[in-house]
Amino acid sequence: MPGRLFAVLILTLVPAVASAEPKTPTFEGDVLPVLNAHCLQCHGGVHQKNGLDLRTLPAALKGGQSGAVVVPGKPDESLLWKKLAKDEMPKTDNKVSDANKKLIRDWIAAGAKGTEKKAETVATRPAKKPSEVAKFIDREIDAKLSAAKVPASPKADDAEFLRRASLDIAGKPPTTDKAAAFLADTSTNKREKLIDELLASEDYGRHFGERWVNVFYLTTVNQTPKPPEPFKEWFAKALNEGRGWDAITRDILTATGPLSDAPQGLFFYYNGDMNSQFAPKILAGNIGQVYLGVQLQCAECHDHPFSAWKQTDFWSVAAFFGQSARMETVENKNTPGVKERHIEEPKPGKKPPAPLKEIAINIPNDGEARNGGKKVPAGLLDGAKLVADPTKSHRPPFAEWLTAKDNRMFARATANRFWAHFFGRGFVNPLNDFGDHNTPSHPALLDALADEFVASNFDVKHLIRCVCLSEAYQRTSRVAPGNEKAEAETLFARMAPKVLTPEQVYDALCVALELSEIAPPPDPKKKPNPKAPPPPTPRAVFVAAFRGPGEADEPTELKLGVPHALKLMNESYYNTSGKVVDRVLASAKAPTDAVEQLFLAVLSRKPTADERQKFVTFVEKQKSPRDAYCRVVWVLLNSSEFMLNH
Amino acid sequence: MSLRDAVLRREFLKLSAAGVVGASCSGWQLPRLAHAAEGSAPRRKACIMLHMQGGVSQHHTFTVPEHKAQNQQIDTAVPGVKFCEHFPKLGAKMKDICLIRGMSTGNSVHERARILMHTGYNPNGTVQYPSVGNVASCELGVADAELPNFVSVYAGSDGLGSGPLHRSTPAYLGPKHAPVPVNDPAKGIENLKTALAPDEFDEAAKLLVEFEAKGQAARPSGAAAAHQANYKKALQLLHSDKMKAFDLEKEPVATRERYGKVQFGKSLLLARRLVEAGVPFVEITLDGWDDHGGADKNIKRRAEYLDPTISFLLEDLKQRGLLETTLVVFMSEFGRTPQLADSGYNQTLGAGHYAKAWTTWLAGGGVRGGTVIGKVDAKGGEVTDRPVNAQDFLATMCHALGIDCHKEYLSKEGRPMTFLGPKAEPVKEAF
Repeated sequence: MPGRLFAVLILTLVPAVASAEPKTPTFEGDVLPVLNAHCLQCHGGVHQKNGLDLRTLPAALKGGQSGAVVVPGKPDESLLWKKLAKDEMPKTDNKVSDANKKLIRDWIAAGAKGTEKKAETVATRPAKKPSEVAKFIDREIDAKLSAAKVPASPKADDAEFLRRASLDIAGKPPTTDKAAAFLADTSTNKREKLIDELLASEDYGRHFGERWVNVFYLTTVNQTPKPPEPFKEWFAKALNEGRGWDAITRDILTATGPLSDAPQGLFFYYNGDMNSQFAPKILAGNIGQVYLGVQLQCAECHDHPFSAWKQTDFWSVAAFFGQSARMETVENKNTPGVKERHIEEPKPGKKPPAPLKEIAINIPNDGEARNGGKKVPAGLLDGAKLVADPTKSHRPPFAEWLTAKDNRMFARATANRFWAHFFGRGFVNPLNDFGDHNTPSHPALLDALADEFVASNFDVKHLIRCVCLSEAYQRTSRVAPGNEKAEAETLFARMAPKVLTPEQVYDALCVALELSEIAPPPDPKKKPNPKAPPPPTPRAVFVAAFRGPGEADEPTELKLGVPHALKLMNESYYNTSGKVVDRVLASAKAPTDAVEQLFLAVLSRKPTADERQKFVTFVEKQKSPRDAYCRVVWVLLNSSEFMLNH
Repeated sequence: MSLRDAVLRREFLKLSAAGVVGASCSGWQLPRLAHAAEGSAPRRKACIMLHMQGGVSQHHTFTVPEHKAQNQQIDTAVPGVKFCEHFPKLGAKMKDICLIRGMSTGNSVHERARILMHTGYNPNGTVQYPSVGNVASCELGVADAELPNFVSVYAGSDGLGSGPLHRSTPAYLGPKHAPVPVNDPAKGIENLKTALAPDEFDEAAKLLVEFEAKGQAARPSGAAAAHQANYKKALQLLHSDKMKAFDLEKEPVATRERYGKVQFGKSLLLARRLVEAGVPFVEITLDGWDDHGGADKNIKRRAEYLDPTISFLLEDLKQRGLLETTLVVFMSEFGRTPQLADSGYNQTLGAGHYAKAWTTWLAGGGVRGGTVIGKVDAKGGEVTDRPVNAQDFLATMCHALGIDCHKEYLSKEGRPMTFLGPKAEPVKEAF
């Protein structure tokens, strides 16, 4: 077992080792992961025992109270090596493995180098053709695969690709008719046509809008958040109109005025506290995680334990949101919306407040964070000079900086998220933890996609076309000899099956059962109350029942439990109702035909010969065709194949 | 362990999960054979937590103030310890009860205080914490038990609601430690009845199992394995004799009558049956305690069923030899205000929220009965001896249950987490 584990270690963590030519070990790529696992709890951002901070190369070279701990080129004179070699450090049982000790020794012997940071360039070129980018994607992925000697799985068949692309782009599987037509189509460019069709459908914006709103809606700490539908509709429209991702992001972060005009202002409600007041610290944390891909929130109360973020970095972002508040609070009216406290409409007879002289926030003095009461001025994370008028809204300058073409954090974090949407994992995982301690699995590819995203003026559809045209995306999720192990997924040797979101499960049930809506039968005892607020939609009821915690961050992990299995198995209106059985009863000439039609309706594919035979035998044993077909639907709907996007 | 190790471990687990896909499928149809070896091991600890949602007035229950009380005090089985007159039967059980009169928890906002009393932390919006029930599921539960390891029962609402029903979230412990909800104790777990006749259902389920085994063998994934594990467990439940624990009708009429017809009493009976069947943690939530209009009348009404049923639960557990291993906890998110003024809102005893000095109690599970820990002043407004905060209260529960509350877990982000903070200490006088 340890041998196997170690193989995974090399392949997933230290990509440099996997490639053919030996490279000089670097602090960020090789050493920091080991330090992170064993040393930073005591020599990091929270504790710096003996004055030693090992989070960055300069700090590690500086040493602690006992002097230098790393003498470049001379491991035997380096305290770090001596302590590790004799297992005097770490003091816990979590000792450093021999392989990792050797790695640290080699690194010191080779001069204790860090990675060279290249000057970042901004892509000013025009966007490339999607097919060209797709080819680049495959070159990069294939290079890593061949270096690791892991074979790629073959191309997915048409049915697998159709269901996957439909679920990924439009959020739902294809209808029976669509599936039949696609499978029968003999044109060579039918996959490309399908991608274009899906991107042109209204469902594209609806699906991605819903997914992105859910990123915030599902993590809100507000116990009674406002319904997200208006925000989702707004998002869907923007995406379907082809608005750039940078512009969409700015629209959200600078939303001002009543929610009826600017529904994207709900972003601020979801990033509010328990009492639904907007919370600058929650905003800073979530903007950091989602739009910049960094765990800034770890620096809320103290400097980040593993990376170089300082507590002041966190609060300098929070400072941009210090004046934003609910309109209900600012205006004392019942109109929800987003307003700035320091910008007031002139009221007759009232003196306007003194204009703000700076953009700053005080770290709350609530005993939770260190340095309570300290004033932190607004600042941009890359140290760029902030030019802003404190008397105006503080959010536009931040949004401009965040979404600027030269903000590589934004482009990379977003490209990584969109990649993960399709592959179930990013190049950097977790998606919100970029940093020297957690280097990307395919750095050149991530950079290239980020560049392409910028060059296309943040055109989401363009990015999706590039990704979906690649062979990597079009591979089967089936195992090929030699790529059985889980590491194959991290190298994208085969497609990782993703769990359908609750919304996708509901929509897939509607498609399979050929119904526009699936609702429990009305309770005859309940009298309708005309005064009551409208009940939630059947979709919302289903989604609420099937929502699992954390599903948004781990799309390949099933978050549902036994109660959900029982519900799908035994709540008959979810699995035996529907028009599909009637249609098949009316049209199928023989059980073979019926089984084929039912497979196509529920799983968007035809049965294999073996499956056809088994299901036909089953059908023939049942009392009536109707019973039989209902039960076949039941079996298929309760399968993991239905529940996963494979 | 670092984040990377955590990712590694997860990948590794996926790998092994994927490897056993075939094996787990073949076991689907054999639920009755699974628990042959159970029953011989010494009984594990269990907990029934009575969560009174909304804020219980200590002045009208277990700590009647000397100053301007609204009720008589009555003697209990332990000389010198007095309860409110509404709780004579529980008073008779005082020898089993350990009363904590110095709860001082510092948070008097409903939802926030509920989270504090379940997790030990005030919610901060960034880190999620598991509740004591989730931790018990993780530490006391049996991984492949047929019955759930944490059941959360809604016992109804009797009075003024105070926000959504509290549901514990497993946070970094993972979804398998989420509570299985029971919304009506008389109905038990939902969807346990199949639409088809048993043999018809089994035939369709057999086809499903075969379809799964063949189809997913080519596509091993952690998600497919988890799906199959869920269905295996669900099918086990459908076939399990142990599910009788959820069927209150199986209980003799005489016992059912002692627990009464109200939903709360049925919840207690369900909890006892579940603990008896091996479920390590049952939380019962009775909503409606937010007595802003005054607690006196409301508590008198609730005591009519609380007093006989809770006292009978203690008796029932004892008779079955379960009280020694079963911790019973009576708690809330906070207490109610003492009489702070002679007029106005604060004149009504118990009208407001009050977290500075309030009362909880523990019984069974090895807790020293007949104990009173902590004192309050004449008004019941200040703790004058032995204050207990939320962390120490939860540490006391953990101690009784044999759970190490300082054990390290790893969050998804790779951050080492312990259930309670380094300063949390059990109230030693309780043991």
